[in-house]
Amino acid sequence: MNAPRPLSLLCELTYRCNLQCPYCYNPLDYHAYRDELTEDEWKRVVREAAELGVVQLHLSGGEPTLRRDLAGIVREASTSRMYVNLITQGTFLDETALDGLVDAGLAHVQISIQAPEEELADRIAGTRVHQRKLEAIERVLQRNVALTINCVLHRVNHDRIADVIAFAERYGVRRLELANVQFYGWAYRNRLALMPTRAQVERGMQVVEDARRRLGDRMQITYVLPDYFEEYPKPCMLGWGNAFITVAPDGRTLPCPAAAAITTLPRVNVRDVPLREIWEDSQLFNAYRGTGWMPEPCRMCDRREIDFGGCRCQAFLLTGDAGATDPACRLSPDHDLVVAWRDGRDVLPFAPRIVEKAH
Amino acid sequence: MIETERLCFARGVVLREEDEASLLLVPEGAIFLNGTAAAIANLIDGKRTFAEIVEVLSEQFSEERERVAADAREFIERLRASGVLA
Repeated sequence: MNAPRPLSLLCELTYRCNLQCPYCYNPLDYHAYRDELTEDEWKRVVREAAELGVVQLHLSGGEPTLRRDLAGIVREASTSRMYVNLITQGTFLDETALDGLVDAGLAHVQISIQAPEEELADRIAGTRVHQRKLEAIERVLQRNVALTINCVLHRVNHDRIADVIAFAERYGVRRLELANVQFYGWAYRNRLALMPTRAQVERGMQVVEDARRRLGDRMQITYVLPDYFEEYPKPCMLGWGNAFITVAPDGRTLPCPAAAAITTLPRVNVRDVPLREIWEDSQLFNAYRGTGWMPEPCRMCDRREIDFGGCRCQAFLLTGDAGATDPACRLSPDHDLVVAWRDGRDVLPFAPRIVEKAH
Repeated sequence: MIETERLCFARGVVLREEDEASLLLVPEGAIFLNGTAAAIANLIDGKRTFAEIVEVLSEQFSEERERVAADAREFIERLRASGVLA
């Protein structure tokens, strides 16, 4: 099958992190990814992506600023005319680090907060970091780089959306992303603690709508709904192997950051195989590319090129078959799995992502 | 829209021109531009006003000012609504 042009590369530079957020999408066995690509290897990945037509580089983790060679990787990408986006929790963005990154050509920073106030934020993060995030936000605002504040929403903080918006307003932030937790990695493990209630989601939508009306184009608010509450699944990654490439810390290359959870697919590593070959020819990237792989009811569905059958990882986690229709879809024969989970009465306390010493 | 306002991209918006495509790169992705949109995007430089952009375009495409203005207004309002303009 002819491979389309990839537009976006996500480099997960490390899975190390000093926070313990229970909704982290990193794999449960993140300790297995300690053999991280070197700076030169990351630069090669970036160059190979640029040659494939990728225009945007997202640097994430774990916490990407734990990599001391981050600025060098940013510079390699901006020299290749890529748009460079740093996804960080901000606790290591001191003056020197930030200046180095901006000088290297960083275009955009996304800083996550756990909640709009310290006590709750630090409780969710499992450590005292909120104050340092506020300082990082102020530093970014003083520099010539765009900023988005991100807050992952779940049962514990979902009722605080209005406060999160007020928080962003206080800082004069132009872009706010309110993203309902997606259930992969640690978040999947903690799903019974994290799933918001329908009432929370409905109130949240109303709060966001009111704020958008009030703020107009002063602030862009993205509110990502949990697809369990919708009729149809999300158009995950705009289709498998269609636009996105993810490279995990050890070079393992995937069509999406959660796909390592699909244990039935062959592994491929950019240390061993050039990125172009992975993108165009690998069994992994071709497994669910296009529409030919689709089962019923997707195969004949009018929405097959709108939502692409939904999320392969979610299908695998819930049904054991990555080639099944995403159970989030109301047309899926497995939809009752989602309904039972979503409407379940079981609420558990969350298990923090096990802390690992930053080194 | 005020016709005398100078138009400027928001921080974090980059116009990228390739041999066969023009794209606006924004934090969450890329917007592919058609020929007219690319011509407009090229004229958004923080100095020109909407009226001046229309003036240049109508010469460039030898089109009536009114028609150009209508197309340009629609595109620019779309950009503004998605936070692409400062």
